[in-house]
Amino acid sequence: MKFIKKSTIPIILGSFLSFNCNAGFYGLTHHSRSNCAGFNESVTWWAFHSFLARVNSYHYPHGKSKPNDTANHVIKLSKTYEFRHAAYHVNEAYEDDDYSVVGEHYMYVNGKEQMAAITFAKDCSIYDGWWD
Amino acid sequence: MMDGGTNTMNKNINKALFLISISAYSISNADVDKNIMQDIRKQALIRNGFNANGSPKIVSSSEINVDEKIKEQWKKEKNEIDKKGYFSEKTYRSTELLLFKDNLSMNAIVKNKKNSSLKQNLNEIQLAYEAKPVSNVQSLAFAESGGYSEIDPNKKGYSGFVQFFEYGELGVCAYTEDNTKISLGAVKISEDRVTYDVNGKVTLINNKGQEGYGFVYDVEWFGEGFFKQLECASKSYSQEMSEKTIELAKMIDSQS
Repeated sequence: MKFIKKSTIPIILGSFLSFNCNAGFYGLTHHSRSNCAGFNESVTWWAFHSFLARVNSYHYPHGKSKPNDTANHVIKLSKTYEFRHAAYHVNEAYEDDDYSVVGEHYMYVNGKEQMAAITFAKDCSIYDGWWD
Repeated sequence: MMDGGTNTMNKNINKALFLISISAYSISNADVDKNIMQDIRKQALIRNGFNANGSPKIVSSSEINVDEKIKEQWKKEKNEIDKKGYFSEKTYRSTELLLFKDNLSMNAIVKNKKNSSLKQNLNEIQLAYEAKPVSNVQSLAFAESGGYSEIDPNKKGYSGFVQFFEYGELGVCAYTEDNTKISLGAVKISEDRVTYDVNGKVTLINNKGQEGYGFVYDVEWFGEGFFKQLECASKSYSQEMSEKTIELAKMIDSQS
């Protein structure tokens, strides 16, 4: 049957990755993470399910990461149609840094404009199991 | 030139001031984070025209912030749903649900394995609220869904979950729930898509599929404090199955 043949690769890949992924695989999830191997970011994703969405990620340094009062900034994505929407800043913050990250997650599906979540993180403790 | 006594006193004062400033800074950091998050949410609600309390808002399509091309597509989908009960789409979701039990038997659920993405029981999912699974169905597996919340350090976790189950003729279904008091979500819905099929609540019927690819009976409903969705897959489409899906959504809604 057509639909079984077309689905074989994602199902096989999905079974392999399911050992290693916590979130965004069997359901739509939204996260922020900070001070995480260089990354401050906010992500909306659901593997193999493309949808129209966008994300804003606000980055607030505290303590030793705060050089001056103008250091707060935001990464804003445009609306795109894909399965992973990541507003990120590479090489910004590591384990010893002290950023807080707030994410705004928006979706546009089935006649709706939805602010799906506001997320917050001060570290990457839920990184374990993420698939990048 | 200061003598030793004055020097020691000054050192002690400086030490005290340093300790006070550190503790004050630590307290204010947590408050600042919470305040920042609440402020961002408040501004986002106002800026995007959502209801201040996050409850679903029915609007004309002109108030939805998407391109005209997307609005035209949504209109086309609605016309198809009105005419034949579903809109045409080669959806991967139907295959995913139809083959879910086969996938499950391969390896997806692993007991006591922290990083497994599917769990056998709802209490194995880290949720930021007390949730109840759908009952009177043959439950297959659970997964996280929604936003991950850390703002309450005593209750970190996800704002929702997905429950996969089997239910009679409808076969394999997925129920998704989101607690908007945790996710801090909000929604505007185009008025020409809205029905009130699920116990008088704001409802969207999003049935979709195509011959040879399978169909998904898709019902979403909304209220203060939650977004909910029920999807059931089938190889073919029938109006009777669409109505059965709505009846199941009503039953699930009544359980909460």
